[in-house]
Amino acid sequence: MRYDFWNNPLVVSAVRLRYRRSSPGMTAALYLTVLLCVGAGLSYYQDHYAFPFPVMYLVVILGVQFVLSAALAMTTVATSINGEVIQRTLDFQRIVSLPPREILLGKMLGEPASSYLLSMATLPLAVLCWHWGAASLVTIGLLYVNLVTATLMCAAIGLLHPLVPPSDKSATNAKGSGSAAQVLVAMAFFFGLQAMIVQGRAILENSLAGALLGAFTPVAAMWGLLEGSAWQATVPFWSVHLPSLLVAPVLQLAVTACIVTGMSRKLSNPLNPPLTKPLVYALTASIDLFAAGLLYSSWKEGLGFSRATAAFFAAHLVTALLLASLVTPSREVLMTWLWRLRGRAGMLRDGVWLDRSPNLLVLVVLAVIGPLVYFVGFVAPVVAAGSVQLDGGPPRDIVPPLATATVLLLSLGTLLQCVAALVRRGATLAFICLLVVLFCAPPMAAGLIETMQPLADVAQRTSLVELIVGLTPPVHFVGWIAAVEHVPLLRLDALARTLPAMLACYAALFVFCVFILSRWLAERRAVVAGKLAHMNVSGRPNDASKTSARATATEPTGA
Amino acid sequence: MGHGPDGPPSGADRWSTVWTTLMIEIEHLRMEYGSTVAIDNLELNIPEGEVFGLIGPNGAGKTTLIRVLATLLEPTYGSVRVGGIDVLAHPLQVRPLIGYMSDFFSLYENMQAWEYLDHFARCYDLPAAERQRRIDQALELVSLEVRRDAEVRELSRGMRQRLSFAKSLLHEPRVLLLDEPASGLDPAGRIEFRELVKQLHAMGRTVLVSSHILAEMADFCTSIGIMEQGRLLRSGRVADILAELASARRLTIDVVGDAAPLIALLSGDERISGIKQNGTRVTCQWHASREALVELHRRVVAADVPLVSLACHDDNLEDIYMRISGHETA
Repeated sequence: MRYDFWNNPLVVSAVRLRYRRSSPGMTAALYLTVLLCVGAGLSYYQDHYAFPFPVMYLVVILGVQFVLSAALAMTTVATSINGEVIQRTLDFQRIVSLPPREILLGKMLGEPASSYLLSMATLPLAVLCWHWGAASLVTIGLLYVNLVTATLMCAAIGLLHPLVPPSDKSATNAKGSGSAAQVLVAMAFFFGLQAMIVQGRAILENSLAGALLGAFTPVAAMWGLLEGSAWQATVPFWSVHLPSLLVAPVLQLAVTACIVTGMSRKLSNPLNPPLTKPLVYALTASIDLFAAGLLYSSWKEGLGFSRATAAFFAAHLVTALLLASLVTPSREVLMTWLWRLRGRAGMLRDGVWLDRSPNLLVLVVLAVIGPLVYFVGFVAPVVAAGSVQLDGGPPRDIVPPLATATVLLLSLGTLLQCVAALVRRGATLAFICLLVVLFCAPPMAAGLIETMQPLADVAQRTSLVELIVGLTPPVHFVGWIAAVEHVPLLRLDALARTLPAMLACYAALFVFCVFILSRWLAERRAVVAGKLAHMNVSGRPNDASKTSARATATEPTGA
Repeated sequence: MGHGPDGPPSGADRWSTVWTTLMIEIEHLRMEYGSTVAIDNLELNIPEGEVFGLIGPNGAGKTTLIRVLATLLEPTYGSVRVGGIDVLAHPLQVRPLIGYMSDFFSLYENMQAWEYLDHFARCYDLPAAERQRRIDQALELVSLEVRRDAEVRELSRGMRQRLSFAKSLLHEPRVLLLDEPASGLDPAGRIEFRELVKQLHAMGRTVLVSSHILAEMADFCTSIGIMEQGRLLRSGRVADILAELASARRLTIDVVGDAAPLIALLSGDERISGIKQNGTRVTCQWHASREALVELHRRVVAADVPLVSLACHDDNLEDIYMRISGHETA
């Protein structure tokens, strides 16, 4: 692959169009003037509000630039991709010699050209701040690296978009949920910004929230800069405090790489799942390891072993389900597997490693990865620290969250596959609705029993409500992580009583989904076999590609 | 390129050359959209250098077939090769070989005509020195050199279509996939387009073109395929299909006054069937050669029939298409 960004056609065309009528120099000069005015204002009020002017000015410049670059990058890329899909120009872009990855990189670099230009325009002011002693040159340099990587990450988020026009009959089920992801990111950004303005310090002081912010955003480093040094913002992994200034760019680039990989697979063929199965395993293990490192540090700082364990498995469950959804084939994709790809390799290799097969074996592998990483990344360091003895068998704290995460991953993952196979359109929405019903119906039913039809026997009523509420998995995780004794339904003994019932229900759901899915697959297989026989194709479904006649002929031949 | 032992064949020799390379090979192709079968077990081989016309009503599966060949759609089943490369297994290798023009020819509205071509020339990785020459050549080929600096949004429908065609020629593809290319062109544009396709044929390019306008197809296609409801009903050389399927010639005879003597004369001839009278005009089917008509003409005149005219019509592509498809619509 060539990395000739400057000659990337998408960059050339985007810059050519954007600056055909307006001069980039004029935009930069205007922006610089505005920032100089802001600087003058800050300088005027520095004595009144007693803040160090150079530091405050640098933070304001970078803060404004981060928000501006992120918003510009995300919106311009999203608008461009949306326009290409709606106007169907993306079809022509897809069939050129340019590899999909370069097309996407071109979009990420060309469309948000203004973001990069305005960032460069702030450089003279940053140098001025360095001259005034706001921060060292290395710190400012790293903050600018972070600015670029954050902009790239936001541009990559802007790429998340269905690549099939809404009216196109083909690959309707292969549409991604890109727009929904962008809305979620925008909402998180909006509310996150509000929360940061109101309670920035409190959020950063929470070890987990502070570590997450420091790992993926420049917020922690900038807050640190305001409080004395940008290097004091750290992300603790196994009690090793890594500077956020160094960690954030790496993780932002990792997120960007994942998105670009997924979208280039979709661009190459909209029926491709965004990620390959091996990549999903690697990502799950990496995120689990990241969680283990963070939770070990939190445990060191006083978070209980059982609470950390529950938090780990909750994080693993959410991560594994989200990533499994990216390799779960839709109905249309599953049909391509049945028609052409079934039998291309052994059942185990096909299910575990290759694209488009049902997700059952992927769920099993993900269910194994979680506990493995937990024991290697969390329990082993804890034991090595000499704080917990595991000689007497698995402690009581480990089994419930581990079993819950495993059963839930298998049952909800299979339910997702069932819905994806059976529902022709809107499978994601249908699955979310089912989840809402599964997670909300029991507490609502319990509330109804409690308020509308109170049983005469208080003890009987309490145990019934406790059982019904206990059928909701999030209640268990909240109870284990929060460890509150004053809420009766969240007390550990109450949760322990209802856990077997909840696990039994979800195990039954798993068996039911496997049964339904197997029947559906068997039926479809029979239909496909019948159609192949009608087409006079014998042998394995994918034989046609192998028996293609390479012979020559003297004229066009057809059926 | 995989030519025969004596290099690439040309013209009529192509048909007699056994070692002609297949440029498009399709086997057991099936395409389903949910419960709709867009293409049903289609088999088709198109040799290199062929101008293949795909004929069929809306919904016959022409666009789907072209999009599958263009690597834009993944078929449900089957094997598709372009230039010997499996489209499903190696789409990225197939893409440089094809030039695709969609029936939905959307363009980047805010680009200038030359910028649009430059964009795609870069996308096809044409060297900088070559790029400008190819752009000029393409603009000249589609007669858009005077509108070189106009923005795409200022171009008429026909001009946009020509620009789109120019784009698909830029990288000199071996296979051109044209989906309804002449639908928006005015008569002059259609003639130009026809000449252009003939020129490409002379250059040895393989062209797969779909159209509703059958008369035009007969003019520039060397072979055709008739599609109906996802099936390829018939395919082959235009002349062969015409010869094979043109079962009879239609005669139209105009007389002055009473046509009864003429009908009596025609009824006695076993080479004639389906006699119909419409006032002073009589139509019938003629089951013999054109040369034999001379003798019929003499007999009519000799029988003192007040003859005004005797016209013979061969079945054209449209007639054959209507007969094969049985007026079905998908």
